[in-house]
Amino acid sequence: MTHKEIQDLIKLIDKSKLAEFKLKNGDFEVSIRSQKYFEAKQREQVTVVQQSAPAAPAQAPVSQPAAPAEQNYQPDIQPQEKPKADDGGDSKGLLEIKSPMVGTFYRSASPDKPPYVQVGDKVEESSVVCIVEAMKLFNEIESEVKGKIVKVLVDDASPVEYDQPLFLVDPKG
Amino acid sequence: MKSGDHCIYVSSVDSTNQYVKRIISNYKIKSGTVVYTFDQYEGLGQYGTQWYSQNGKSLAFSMYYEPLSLSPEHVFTLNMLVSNGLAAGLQSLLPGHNVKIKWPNDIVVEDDKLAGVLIQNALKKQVVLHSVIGIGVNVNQTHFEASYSRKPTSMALLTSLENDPGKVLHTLLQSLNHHLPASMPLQKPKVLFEKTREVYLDRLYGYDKWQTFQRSDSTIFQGKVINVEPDGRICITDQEGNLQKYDLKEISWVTR
Repeated sequence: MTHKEIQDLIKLIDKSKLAEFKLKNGDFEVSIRSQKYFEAKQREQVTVVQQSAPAAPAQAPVSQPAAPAEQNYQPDIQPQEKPKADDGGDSKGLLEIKSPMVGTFYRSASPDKPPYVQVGDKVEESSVVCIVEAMKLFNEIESEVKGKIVKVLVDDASPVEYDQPLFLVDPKG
Repeated sequence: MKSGDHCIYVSSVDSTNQYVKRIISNYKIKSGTVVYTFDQYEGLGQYGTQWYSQNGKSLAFSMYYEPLSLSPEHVFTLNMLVSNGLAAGLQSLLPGHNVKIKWPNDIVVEDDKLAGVLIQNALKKQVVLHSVIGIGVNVNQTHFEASYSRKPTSMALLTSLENDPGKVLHTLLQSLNHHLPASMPLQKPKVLFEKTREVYLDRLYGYDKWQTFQRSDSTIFQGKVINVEPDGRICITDQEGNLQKYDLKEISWVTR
């Protein structure tokens, strides 16, 4: 599927009544969630009032710049913004940096080095925030968000799962 | 990409991986660019460990590689491709010896470590942006001072001959070129994994042989390596025929 085709598909779905669309063809996979999906999700969350809700982005994907054309379309095209909690509290408007893989979480390049980031540090998009080591492969994780680190959610050298939140970031920090 | 189209020689450096990372933090370089030295004084081993080399006697090089469409779930394929290329290159330089890959990525002859791999990936938004593939080879060392987790060997110890580390580099780059695709195929990560695994298992130390293993809970058992999973876990069957998959920290070989 070409870049253009994917863009057209996104537009088409946005205009339709669909909340979610998935297409799988061999190794190629695309899934698109529209504004309607997240509106529905938010309604659910408001009624349930849940803290550990799945990270449900709150915007339509249409305005998102599409990923470069040569990539495996793992449809990570939604921003990772959590829906704003109505009940206020500390987690208001915070973003998560998540682990892209199963592995061991390390906060610094080696045990004698300082951590990449500490609570209170500012991160840019593309700041290295940690390492996730898997099978002797060292994966430096770059932040996808901009803001101030408000919480480190995982202890150094502990195992992490795919998609597990690692840091909380305040985008207004 | 062809690895080695751009080669940078440094007479002495802390670590070639670090050197590459310093370059890419300031400049844009081509995928396949290689930095090499015969004097690496602070080589990186696994997390928090060192790779020891001796001035002028060993080869260390790092390749900057942009694996385009590689997703994090397939990084172990990259590990196998590099191990396969490195092992095949060393095998061609050491006829008469049996060069093996010890899971996940040590290169051994008999049970002694000849070369090591350290891959550092930069990941963002579910995509591997780039990799720095670091390789250390013991070329002309004839004695090793430091204590090692695994007994080292060198090409000189194996062949009783001095080798030109520059020529060793040349051969290894050719072999890596042959094994590493210029970019990961867009829609066929599973096909590439299967193909690569076949070569990897063929060269895997202890593959399909009864050996003694120790689990992380200290239990010792006789087992046979029969496969590796896409995520890199090793599949070992015990004498009762029970198959179990192990992560790196869950299993080790009991050496003779």
